[in-house]
Amino acid sequence: MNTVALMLLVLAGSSVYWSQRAIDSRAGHFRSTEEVLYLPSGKVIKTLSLGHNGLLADIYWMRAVQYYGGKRLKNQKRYDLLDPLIGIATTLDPQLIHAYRFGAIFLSEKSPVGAEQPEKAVALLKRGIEQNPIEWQLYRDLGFVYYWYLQDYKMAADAFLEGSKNPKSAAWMKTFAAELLAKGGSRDSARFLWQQFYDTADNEQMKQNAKENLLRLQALDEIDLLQEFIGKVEARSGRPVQSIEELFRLGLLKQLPLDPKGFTYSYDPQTRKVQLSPESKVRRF
Amino acid sequence: MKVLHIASNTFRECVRDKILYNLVIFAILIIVSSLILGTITIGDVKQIIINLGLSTISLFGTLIAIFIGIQLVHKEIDKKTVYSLLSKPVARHEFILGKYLGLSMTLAVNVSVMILGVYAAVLYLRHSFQASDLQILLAGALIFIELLLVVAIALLFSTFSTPALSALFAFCLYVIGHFNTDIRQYGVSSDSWMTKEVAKWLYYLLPNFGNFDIISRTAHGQSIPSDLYLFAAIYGLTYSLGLLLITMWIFERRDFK
Amino acid sequence: MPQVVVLTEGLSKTYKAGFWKTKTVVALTNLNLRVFENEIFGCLGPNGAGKSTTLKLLMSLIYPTAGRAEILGKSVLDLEARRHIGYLPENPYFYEYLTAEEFLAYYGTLFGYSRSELRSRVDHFLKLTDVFHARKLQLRKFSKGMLQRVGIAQAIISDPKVVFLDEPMSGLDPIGRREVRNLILQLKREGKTIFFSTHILNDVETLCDRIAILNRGEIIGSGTLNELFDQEVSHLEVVISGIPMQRLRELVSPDALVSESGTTSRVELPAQASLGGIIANIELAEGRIISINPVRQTMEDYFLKLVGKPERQAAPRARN
Repeated sequence: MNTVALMLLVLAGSSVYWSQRAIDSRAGHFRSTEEVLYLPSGKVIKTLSLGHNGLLADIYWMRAVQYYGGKRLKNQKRYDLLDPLIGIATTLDPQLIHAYRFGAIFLSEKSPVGAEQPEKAVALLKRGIEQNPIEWQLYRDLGFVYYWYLQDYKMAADAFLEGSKNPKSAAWMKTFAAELLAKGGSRDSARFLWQQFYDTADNEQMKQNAKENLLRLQALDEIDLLQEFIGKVEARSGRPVQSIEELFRLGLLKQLPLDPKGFTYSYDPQTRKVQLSPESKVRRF
Repeated sequence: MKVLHIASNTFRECVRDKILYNLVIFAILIIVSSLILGTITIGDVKQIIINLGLSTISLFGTLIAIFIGIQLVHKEIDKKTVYSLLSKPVARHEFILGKYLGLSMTLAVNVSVMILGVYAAVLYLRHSFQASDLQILLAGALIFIELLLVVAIALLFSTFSTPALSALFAFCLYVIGHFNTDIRQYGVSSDSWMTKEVAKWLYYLLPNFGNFDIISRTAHGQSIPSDLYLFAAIYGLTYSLGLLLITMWIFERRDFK
Repeated sequence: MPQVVVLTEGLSKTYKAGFWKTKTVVALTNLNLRVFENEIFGCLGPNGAGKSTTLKLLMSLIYPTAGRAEILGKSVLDLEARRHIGYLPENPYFYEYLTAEEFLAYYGTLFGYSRSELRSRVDHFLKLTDVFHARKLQLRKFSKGMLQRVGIAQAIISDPKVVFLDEPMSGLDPIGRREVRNLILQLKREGKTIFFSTHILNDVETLCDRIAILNRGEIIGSGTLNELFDQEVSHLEVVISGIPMQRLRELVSPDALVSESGTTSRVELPAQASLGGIIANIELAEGRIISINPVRQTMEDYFLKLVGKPERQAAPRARN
């Protein structure tokens, strides 16, 4: 090829690369996923896919996971597209069980971890149950969403109970339901559920999320213990405690208590409440 | 200029091959849809017409681009008309350029007429135009640039492959080109360095037709930011140019047995 | 010294064939040719000899693996040199959706003629090749003979100095062949050089000034017809009737060959034989002399010998 043509080819090639990067930086890496907002319903896509709905379902599911985990522009609202994406994926392939589970958790979690749309999570799980009535885990997850995110213990108990009717279901669901109905929510039951979640998580993000919640529960327990301890000290000394460091200096504590992420707890003498330190990385909700 | 003469002969060939009759089918489609939709008052009828019109333009245009494009050069080689033509004082690359321009001109006519059809339907349904209707024209122009890229792909295959294989490859590239971003994302999420690199290279190497996705947006009356539009246009035009250069190079070197 | 119009030096072409491109096919080896101005040059050879390959190499439709070629002193790769050459490919097929007029005009535009010049050239050459009456007809409707003539028209539209024709007579009926032959002679009268390839010996004999003979990719003979084979009389043939074979044998000299065919007998005599005595003997025996022919070696004999095929036996030789 003569030199002019070769130079033109190099120019064309670099222009292709450069303009693609320009498009990507302006439109974000999720242009294709944003088209979801303009697309007709999942049913229409299913018809149009001409039998390739399984593949398309996988593609949309992958996009959903990517969308959740990937980088995005700062001014974009997070997770708006998570529900439509998972919705389309599960319409194309109603048996995408892990999609329902993933969606349930991350649609419900508060920002910045999730979409803060637990109602959407409930709707998603209900659709999933309708399509897969023998999947008892969906009942378990539905119960979980009602319990933890919506704090509706009655609905949660109903879901656990319904799920426990399946002979393959986990043994604890029935008793757990009864306990919920009797006593409502408690930290122990919450810890139990999150531990269940941690043990059965099939994906790194979900496992991590469960762990974060467990650590929070642990921190709450430790805060309760500290609070009780401070209460006893005050009762014995007759003076108000000013800070946790004081207790350490006085030798009442053998070491400075650290939260599960290694940060010290702080005590506010005004409100007389033990709290997580402002720098702590433990989840606050 | 010789290139223009070859182009106008190619255009003449397309016209005489009755390709432009697809416009008739399009016209019927648009007219019937408008008439039916005009009697129903549901939501935004204009959106449906724009969606339908632009999608049809894209679809028909792509079919023409692929099926005519893959024959552009192959037919001349197969029927040996290229023998007598190349013995004249015309360079091989001028031949390729002329063929490309000829089909592009045909598509330009096709797209323009269809855009007019869409505007006519909008006018019929709404009895007036809004400023945002300019988007339709811009969308049509970007679709045309997308078609230029498809023609370039088809032409490339036409110079060294049979029509059947060329159609297959061109169609495959077109489909893959719409899932380009997914390939990239798959690479990003993968742990293997090898997969990441391969996915990245594929992303930039394969034609990314997702860059031209503006139909749904236009139907919703939303405009594309002008810089995004500009970059998409540059992408399409320079990619086509690159392919043309490669095509000319291949064609220059081959033996016509 | 006449000008060399076409020149090849060591021109060779080898193809890579087979699925994995491992087999080599030699199409042409070491071709050295010279064609002089205003001659009709024939390139002769059986099918697959390399004639088309030679023409395509000259037209730069394929590229040589070795050697070079020149036309009118310029390399065959030179684009501008093509203004002065014309080419008619083998079994031509032209754009069937164009009319003859449009077709010639299209090719004409590639030379850059003005509109009026184009018009006059198109008309002139359509008339010359006798397809003017069909100028508004689409080429798809043309007969083979007409297509061939249109083909020649497109080859000469730029009034080239050299015209290359690949098997110009192939597939034509006798009328068509005569028309093409006359066109070729006309072109020669106009001062052009014609190079054509064929496997039909008769065309070569009647038209060519000089020829080259190709076989299996190699040139095995070139020059004028006279240079190539001895056209001298090889023997005499006397056709007689009215004398039975046995009797005839007694009348002629022992080195004569006698054969019979139908009601006549044929005597082959050496070229230098004196006929006087034999004729007298035949008349005495009341036989009738029908004809006396000097027989020259035919081109066909020469050609077949050259390409290694056994000579056809004209008639069984009688044993004395």
